[in-house]
Amino acid sequence: MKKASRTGQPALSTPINLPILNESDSQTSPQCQNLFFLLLPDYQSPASDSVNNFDFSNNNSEPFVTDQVIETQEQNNQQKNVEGFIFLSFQADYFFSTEILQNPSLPVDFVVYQNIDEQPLINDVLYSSVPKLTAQSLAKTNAYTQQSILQIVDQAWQVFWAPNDNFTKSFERNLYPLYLFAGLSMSFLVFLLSRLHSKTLTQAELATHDLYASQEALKRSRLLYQAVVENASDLVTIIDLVGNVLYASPSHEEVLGYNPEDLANINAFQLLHPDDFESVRIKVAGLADGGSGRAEFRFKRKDGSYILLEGIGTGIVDDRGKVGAVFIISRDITERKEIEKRKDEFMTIASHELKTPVTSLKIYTQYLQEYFQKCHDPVALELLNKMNQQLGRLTNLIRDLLDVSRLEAGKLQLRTSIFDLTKIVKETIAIVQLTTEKHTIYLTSSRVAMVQADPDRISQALVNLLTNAVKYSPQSDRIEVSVNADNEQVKVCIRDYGLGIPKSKRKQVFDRFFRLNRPKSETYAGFGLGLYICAQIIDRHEGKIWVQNTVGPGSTFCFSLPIVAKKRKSRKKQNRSTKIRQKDKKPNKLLK
Amino acid sequence: MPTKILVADDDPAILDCLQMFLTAEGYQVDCLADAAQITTNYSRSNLPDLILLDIWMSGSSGKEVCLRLKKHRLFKKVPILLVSAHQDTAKIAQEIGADGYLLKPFDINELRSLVKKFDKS
Repeated sequence: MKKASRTGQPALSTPINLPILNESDSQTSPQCQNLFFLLLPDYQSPASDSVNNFDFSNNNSEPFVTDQVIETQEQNNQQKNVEGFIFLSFQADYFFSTEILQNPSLPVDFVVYQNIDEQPLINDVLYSSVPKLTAQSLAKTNAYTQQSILQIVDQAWQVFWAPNDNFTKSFERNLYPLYLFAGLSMSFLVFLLSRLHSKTLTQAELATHDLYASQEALKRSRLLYQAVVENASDLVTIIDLVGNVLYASPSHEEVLGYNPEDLANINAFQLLHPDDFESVRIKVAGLADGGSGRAEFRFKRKDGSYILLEGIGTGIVDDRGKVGAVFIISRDITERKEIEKRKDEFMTIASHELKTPVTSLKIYTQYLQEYFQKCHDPVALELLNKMNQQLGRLTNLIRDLLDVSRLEAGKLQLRTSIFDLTKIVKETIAIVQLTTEKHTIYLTSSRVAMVQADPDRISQALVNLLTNAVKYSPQSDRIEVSVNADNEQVKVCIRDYGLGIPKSKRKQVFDRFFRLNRPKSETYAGFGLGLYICAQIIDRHEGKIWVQNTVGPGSTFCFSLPIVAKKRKSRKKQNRSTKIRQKDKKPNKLLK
Repeated sequence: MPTKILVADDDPAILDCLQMFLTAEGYQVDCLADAAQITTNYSRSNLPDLILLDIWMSGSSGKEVCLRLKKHRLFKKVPILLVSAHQDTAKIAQEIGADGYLLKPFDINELRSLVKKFDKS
């Protein structure tokens, strides 16, 4: 009715199931199927005139044709003019029973069109016995094998119909390609799903395999670490920050005599030598911030004796990011210390044994020099001068080797005092000047430069730098030394006009045993230790040493030392400085 | 009377050259290879004016000898110069109360000037 109201056109109602009264026994049959109403709009008179362009008067055999001029305006007029509706019942079963005379009770599928064109459209369907009739199934109208024209109230209605079985067969036959397509699609979908499943399964299997492999690797790694720790000859210990033993490797029994289970209830700090207790405790506490540290300490064995251990500790960070324990690997260094001690003794003996014959040679040589000088024998004197120079070289080589040995062992002792560096520079220049007749060493200095240092070692560094300047500038006759001080530091530079040093090698010259590759004619004897020792000496005094860029030939070596603060020059401080000097000074090696 | 210098060193070459040089310088030189014999070889009447003492000698330690001499009633006023190749000679000399030191190998001018400071003649 809505459609009829909206369009002003005839329409069919939805199917209506009416109970059929059986007159014989006054019972109702279950239902009456395919019953619906035809709704015919009834127009007002003027409108009826106006809508007479609908040709209702054609002969009955002709299908009812609307002009399809249901233009909006006219439609609106029709709607306005609809006065009411004429309801006519259409009982499909009855209709088709008259059409199918052979078998009136045969079930029928049918569709009713308002449009009686040959190609009906889905929108023209007024009624279909097949639920959810689609355009596609409508296109298969050959499923409906019969066609009838229904004349009701001068209107023609086209009815396509077919017995149920025929319709179904035909419809299904028409659907075969669809079934085929659907089947193929399903197969393809199944194939895709199967592939996807297979792939997913493979990925899952791979992931599972990887997980399993990772677990196995982790297990192997754990076993490996466990084996390393359990079989290590070093002591592997885990303690908390206050020294309680959390884990001790089996090696503790062999090295210290303690069963690891015994140590689990012991505070390791209590077994430290009393002299080492505080330093180790502080170092372990220092690991609370993370990082690692090293310490040498004496540890009490089960038999009561002490063993010298070297331990390297690392803080273990827990889940909360805090260090709650320390992992320590320790080893017995008694033997190593003994070897170091023997090495020191050897170096001392070697020093003594090498220097003693040089001492007597030097005395004899210098005595003869004086003798032949008195005798005015220039040839003998020249030969003895050369001998003395070579003895000087030998002395320096022995000293350098011993110094390097001490530096490597960290045992170069400094006997510091406060002194004027400019004065030491002057004295050293005077000594080196005696060794060369060709060169003249010029000094420029701005002011007194007080430093706190070991004067002998600083002098040694200066001698090395000056003798290098002499040695590597055989073609020139000038060496310039400058001492410049400000409030922070004093800088000493030694400039020669010799062979120079390539820019790329300027840092390497301070390496141990470094020698510049020069042509054979320009090769100079030496171990390559002088500059290394200079650098080490200056470094020990918290100074700096470098090769400075030089305009023209030659090279410029500079070093700087921190200057003693002015406040030390106050009267009170000066007295203390004097005391220090008196305490440390070695006036011409005369102690009293 | 020339100044009497006692040289105690276990190396004959050192004894030989020092004796030669110091004698040439006009000193009276006694040599001892075993420093432990110093106290037994000298009496109040023939005490040396200066002792040149090696630190490291076979048989006796120069350090111990020096410490003992500094406490000896006869020798405590005799100046002692340590003569050694030991790197820490200066430190040792200070520790044991020696009057000076010479680090081997030294120049004869160093020896000459140091000995001259104790020359009583």
